[in-house]
Amino acid sequence: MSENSITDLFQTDPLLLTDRDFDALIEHYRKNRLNFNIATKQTTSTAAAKKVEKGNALAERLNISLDDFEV
Amino acid sequence: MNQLPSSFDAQGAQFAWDSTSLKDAFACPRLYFYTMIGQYSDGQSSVHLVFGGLYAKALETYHKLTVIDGATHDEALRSVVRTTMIESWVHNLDANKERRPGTGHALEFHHAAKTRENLIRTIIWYLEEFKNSDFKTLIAADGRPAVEFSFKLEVDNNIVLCGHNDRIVEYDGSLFVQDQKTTGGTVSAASFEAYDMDIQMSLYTFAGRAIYSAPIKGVMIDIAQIAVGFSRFMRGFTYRTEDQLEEFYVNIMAKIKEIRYYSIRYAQTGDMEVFPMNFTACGNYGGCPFRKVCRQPRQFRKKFLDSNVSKRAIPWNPLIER
Repeated sequence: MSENSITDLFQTDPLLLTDRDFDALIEHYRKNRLNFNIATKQTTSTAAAKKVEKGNALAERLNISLDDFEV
Repeated sequence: MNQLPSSFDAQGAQFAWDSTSLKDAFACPRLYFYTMIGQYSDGQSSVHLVFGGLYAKALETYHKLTVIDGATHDEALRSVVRTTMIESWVHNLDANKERRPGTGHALEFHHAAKTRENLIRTIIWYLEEFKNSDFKTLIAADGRPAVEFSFKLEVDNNIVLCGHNDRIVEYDGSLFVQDQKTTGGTVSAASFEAYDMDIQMSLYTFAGRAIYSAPIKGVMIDIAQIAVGFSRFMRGFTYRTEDQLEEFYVNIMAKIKEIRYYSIRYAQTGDMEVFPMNFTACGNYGGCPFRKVCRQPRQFRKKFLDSNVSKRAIPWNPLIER
């Protein structure tokens, strides 16, 4: 559902809305939530990948192998 | 003297107490006088109360519909979204004080994040997040589920302890009262530490054990962070041992006795000065809202209070069920 339609639903007297309207509203926020969770995971993965990259670069400079360390 | 709410007895002292009145009493007796006897507004933004109240009500209703009425997740979700949309719309009323369809406007929240749209979003996101939660609602000995219940627990000295709970749940083999909170700030594990000495959480656990004769371990708190573009949830627990609850009870009864003494003296003299001030509380939480009153010379204080501080639109009464 488009953002304009969601705005319309919030600007309409809810006593005049139908079950279909409410289902559409719920579906909109369900998708909204999934998209937010995906975006959050991507951000977290990107940040984690950057940390690994930095760790590897530091190990190379120090001429050590990270395999020598137990985590 | 003011018309006191019905939670006060003939002597002019409060007999029905909830966590709000207890918190003010513990903070400062003079603050208690202003808010509970004087019924002056503390000026706290009502948006948090309204938003939090609508949110909590939606979740309670959802649990009532699914646990008691046997509604499916989707049916209950649609129902609470519909009800919340209606409750957050200001209709014109007819002669019977019923809402007139096709009239009115959306309730204004006047807050960047706690908006009507974000209220609906938070309800949907929360119920989607936790719909598959692996815990059951407690069924009381009389067969009724412990959902959406207001309690009035009579204890010693004709005192009544009041409150309202969403539900009692069984989680990981233990019983907990479940409570909902909303905040605009970031939530972390540290957010829950504050609840370990919280009066409301102790009261819920104490009352829950007494009413249901069940070994309730504490409170499961779900905190919802309300941001402009998202809502985020975190669940934590605060626990109370039997010994801690006994200590809590002794302490609140002592405080109630103290405040009742001041209240009776006030009823006899009409002089608010019988309620002592707690000078160490004036700076709490960004500053007591009544500091500007207490700062006034005594002879002008009452007049300043009546001229500069509004009264609550609706008197605070612990006996009124939500």
